[in-house]
Amino acid sequence: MSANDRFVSRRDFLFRAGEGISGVALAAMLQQDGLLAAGGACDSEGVVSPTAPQEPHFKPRAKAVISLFMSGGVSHVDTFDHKPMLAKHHGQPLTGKGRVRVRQGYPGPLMRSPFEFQRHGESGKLVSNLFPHMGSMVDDLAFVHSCQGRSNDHVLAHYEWNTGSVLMGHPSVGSWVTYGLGSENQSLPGFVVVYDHRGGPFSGPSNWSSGYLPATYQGTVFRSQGDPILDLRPPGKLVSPEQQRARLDHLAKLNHEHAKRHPGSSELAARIASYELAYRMQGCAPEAVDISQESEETKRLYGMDEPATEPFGRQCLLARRLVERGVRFVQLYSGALRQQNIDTWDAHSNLVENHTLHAGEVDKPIAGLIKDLKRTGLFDETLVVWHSEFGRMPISQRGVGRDHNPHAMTAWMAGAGIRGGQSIGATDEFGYKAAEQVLTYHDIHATMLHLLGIDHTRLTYFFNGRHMRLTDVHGDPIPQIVS
Amino acid sequence: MASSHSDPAAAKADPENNLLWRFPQRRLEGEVIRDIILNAAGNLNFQAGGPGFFPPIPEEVRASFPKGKWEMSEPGPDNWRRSVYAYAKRGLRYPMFEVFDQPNMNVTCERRTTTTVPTQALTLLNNDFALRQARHFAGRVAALAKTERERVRAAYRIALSRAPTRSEMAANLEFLRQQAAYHKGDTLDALTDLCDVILNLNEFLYVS
Repeated sequence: MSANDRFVSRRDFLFRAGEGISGVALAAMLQQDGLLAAGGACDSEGVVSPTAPQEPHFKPRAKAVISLFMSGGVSHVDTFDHKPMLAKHHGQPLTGKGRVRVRQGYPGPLMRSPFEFQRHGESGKLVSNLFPHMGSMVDDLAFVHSCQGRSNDHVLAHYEWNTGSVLMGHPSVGSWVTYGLGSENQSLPGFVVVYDHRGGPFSGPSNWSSGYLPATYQGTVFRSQGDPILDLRPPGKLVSPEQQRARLDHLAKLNHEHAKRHPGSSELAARIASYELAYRMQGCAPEAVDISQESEETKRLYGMDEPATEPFGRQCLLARRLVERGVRFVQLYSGALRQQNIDTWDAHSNLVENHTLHAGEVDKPIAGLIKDLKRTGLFDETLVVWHSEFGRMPISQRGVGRDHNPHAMTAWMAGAGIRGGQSIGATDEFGYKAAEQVLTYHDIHATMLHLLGIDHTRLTYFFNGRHMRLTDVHGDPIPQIVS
Repeated sequence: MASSHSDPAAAKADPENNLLWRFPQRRLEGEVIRDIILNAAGNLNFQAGGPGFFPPIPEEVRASFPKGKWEMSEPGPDNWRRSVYAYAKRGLRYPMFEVFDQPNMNVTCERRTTTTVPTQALTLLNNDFALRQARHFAGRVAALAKTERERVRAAYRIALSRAPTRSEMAANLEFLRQQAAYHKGDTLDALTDLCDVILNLNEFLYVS
């Protein structure tokens, strides 16, 4: 380590050390004629980058994660957490549970679910008729009924789900995973976010921020149509492809001459390589989102033949294509912060209408995704997590909606060899609070990392005088999921 | 920046620079990179003080940001001020700064990290701002010097504070000829190609 590197962080040092070793190889590579002429290939052989694949702590069960974030707050008691006591005590006040705090200030009586429930699969799981397609897949899904959050505010709850902290500024789970494991494909970002076709979710880009981790680990927003990445290609007709190739070749020539005058600088070599990688990305990223390559049958599987399910179907199909190409973490959002009570799952005033709309949009695409992952052999090595930022109240809000409820929610995990058809933990008789095997988001995060072969207590980044962790000082992998 | 690696004996004895025989090489910050691009183009507005300006943030980035407004204006002297006057929002960073490792604005930062990633290359290669400034840079150079040789020399002087080496001159003249042929004789288009290359050079972005 050189004297000027004295204050460089350990991780930083490792990057540089890594670059140093491969930097020599790179410099040698760059001296070969023709390297820069190749272009367009989507492999990333010989590439050195901070997102190069890293060894996990132990044998992983999954290589990639797809997080399906239902933004706005899905009502667990109207979807996967059937509560017959709600029907029995419909119209009666919720008592004996301490002071009931609601977000918008209209605590009404207990309200039965307006939706019918049916048993599905061999497990006989009760699922409401909001999710007939997901219902048909219950034997592949492991339900977690007893997770609790710390905030009944959308924005803070989004932070907590994504970063483990209700405060803004911490790295999101996707950033931690990419930091810990790198990415299999250097021609695509390791952590990709595709948000609702109507717009971004509550809390915006902070949801996929890398916080205090290096910026390279932040989520990259892919648009589900057109060029997926910012500045992937020159705008308009400013630069033709031939012109750009000529510029790149000349740039490499001059940079190479400069590098010869500065021997031993791995950083310069890495930067020269990054341009060639950028050139490859221009070919690979549009290919990754080019859904026209998929068969009509596949598109139908994702519901892309129906206007209601087309947008989320496209998001889900994109997720499979990205995971297939080695992207480590894909997060999809359903729900956009425009008109909150309409465009997200935030059913304060219109439970039936709201949840019917959003469930109708995502149900078939998500079931299609699971089926497609299974038939393409990706299911066993991909962790799919379906979740919302919190659940909803068993009591009514003005007779037509339900308010926020961070004390209970339902999430499910699937793939990664997880035993499907099981229901983990339980809420109380009304679904008001988690009652059995109460879990936190830290436990969920610890579980996700564990499945990826990472010990959550050992994935740290030194910041502000502390070895920071995704799970802070908490969290245990959920035994029924990781066993 | 002129090379400071000119001591072969030192380079041999201490290739890692442990004894600091040369200035430790470092990449400039994103904010500075924007400033020096504007400066090379002759467009950096040195107006000091007053309210900040809104750097143009593309629609697709603003779309994911739920609240608050970003007052966009056409590229021009008003938003060609030094980066230190760029309006900053905690949750919404100017993509060019962000990609060049501007720290998250919600937490303290005792030291910036420096990464080298392809998205930085994409930004400098394809970003509307960078491409347009390369054009301005070419216009400035064309106004300063007539012959191709003088133009190469002027561009190097402005961007790198040195004259090109003999082999660089030869390579650049050849490139200008090749690009002029591609652009059907338009020498300003060819010069724009060269100026864009110069703004992407390692030497332009690194202090050594």
